[in-house]
Amino acid sequence: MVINETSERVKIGPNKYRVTTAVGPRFYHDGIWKTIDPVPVLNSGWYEMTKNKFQVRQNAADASWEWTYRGKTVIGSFVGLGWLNISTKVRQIAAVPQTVTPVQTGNLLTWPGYFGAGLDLVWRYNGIGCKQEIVATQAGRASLGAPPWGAAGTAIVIVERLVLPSGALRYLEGEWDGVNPFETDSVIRLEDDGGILARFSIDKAYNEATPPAQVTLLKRLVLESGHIYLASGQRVSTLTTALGSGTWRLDPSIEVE
Amino acid sequence: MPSIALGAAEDDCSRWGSSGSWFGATLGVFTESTRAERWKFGDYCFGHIYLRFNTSVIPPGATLTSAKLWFYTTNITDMQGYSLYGEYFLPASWPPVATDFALESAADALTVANPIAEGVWHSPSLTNLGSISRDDYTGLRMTLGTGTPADVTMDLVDFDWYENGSGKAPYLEVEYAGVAKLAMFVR
Repeated sequence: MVINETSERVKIGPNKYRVTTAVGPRFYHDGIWKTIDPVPVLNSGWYEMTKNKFQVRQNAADASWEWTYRGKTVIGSFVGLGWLNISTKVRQIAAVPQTVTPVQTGNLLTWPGYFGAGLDLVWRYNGIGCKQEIVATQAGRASLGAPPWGAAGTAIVIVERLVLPSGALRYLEGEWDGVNPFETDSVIRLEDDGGILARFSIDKAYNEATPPAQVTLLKRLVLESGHIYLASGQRVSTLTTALGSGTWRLDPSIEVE
Repeated sequence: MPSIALGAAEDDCSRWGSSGSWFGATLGVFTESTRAERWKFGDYCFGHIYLRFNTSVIPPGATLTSAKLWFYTTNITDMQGYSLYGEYFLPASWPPVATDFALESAADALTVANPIAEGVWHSPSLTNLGSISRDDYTGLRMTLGTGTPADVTMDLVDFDWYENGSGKAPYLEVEYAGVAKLAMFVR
């Protein structure tokens, strides 16, 4: 018998029971308790994860996505690899993303070369949300060529645009005026009438080389042209330095511009 | 790039590097990774896994008869033959903060003796079942090895973690004898 999102109990003998409890949700309540299934299913051109208390669907053609919870939907689309200039305006490196066909492996969706050759977009679905990664190989770094901002440049960012339900944005663990860039070290929440609509975590990046090296990512929110832009990256002088050697995974981070 | 979620899973890890180590004198907490490590590179580096389980689902009067921690190992580097130790430890807040780390484990919850197999489920039995809470969370802190590494070698153990979405995140299994039913006597 399911007890709550993380736990269930079975009777194993007369007056004897076994409880299993996990570190995250295994079940969701939809009239009755049901088991979460984080594997998206392709349906009419969209990968959909619906067996949860929230729903996510992602367009197979362009990787744009929709997150729906409590009857409200947040829409996201990728603008591409970019960088921040000195006045913190988003500038695109190249006309990305590319049009590629995703490859599904269980709960993983991979768009090979989405940001250019050797720069893959990966979406990882789980019981509480979705995680985006860009996986850069050596070929990916080489394909980007010389950084556009030169040796004294500023930052690498990966830019994504969000469209929020009207009035949905309250920030967050700190104060943000919705106009000026914002930097934070923890969590950004989108709230609606006091309830959490979505939550964006801001973690560190790490290098999968041995030993792994932790990288501090940029963390900024900026509003531009009526939309919120999310991005992540590190403040470096060259692109190749930013991506380092081996495979890099730029884990959750945010900027909004 | 962001992750979008409604909350955070309760399996995290921290990393500490002493002055002169590869990391420098730094502490960090990782919320989407579960790695225990102990190694030397320049100086000493340590990492701990933190797990938290809502055990308030166990009736207050139940008699616990056994408990196991189930976890799946995704990556093992074993150069010094360290064992894995677990102790009861509930951080004051979640996710843990870097200063929740400890260099040595009390090992009052479990031990997984070296060698630790990779790519399989492990289910060590927990000891000191009285430390499992009936009205709150029960926390575990996992530490790899003891003492200071003697050479430039690395030992690490990665658990599969919740946000990975593979369905192999850690869970706690507790067996108990139920609370006796109330008897009604009528004279």
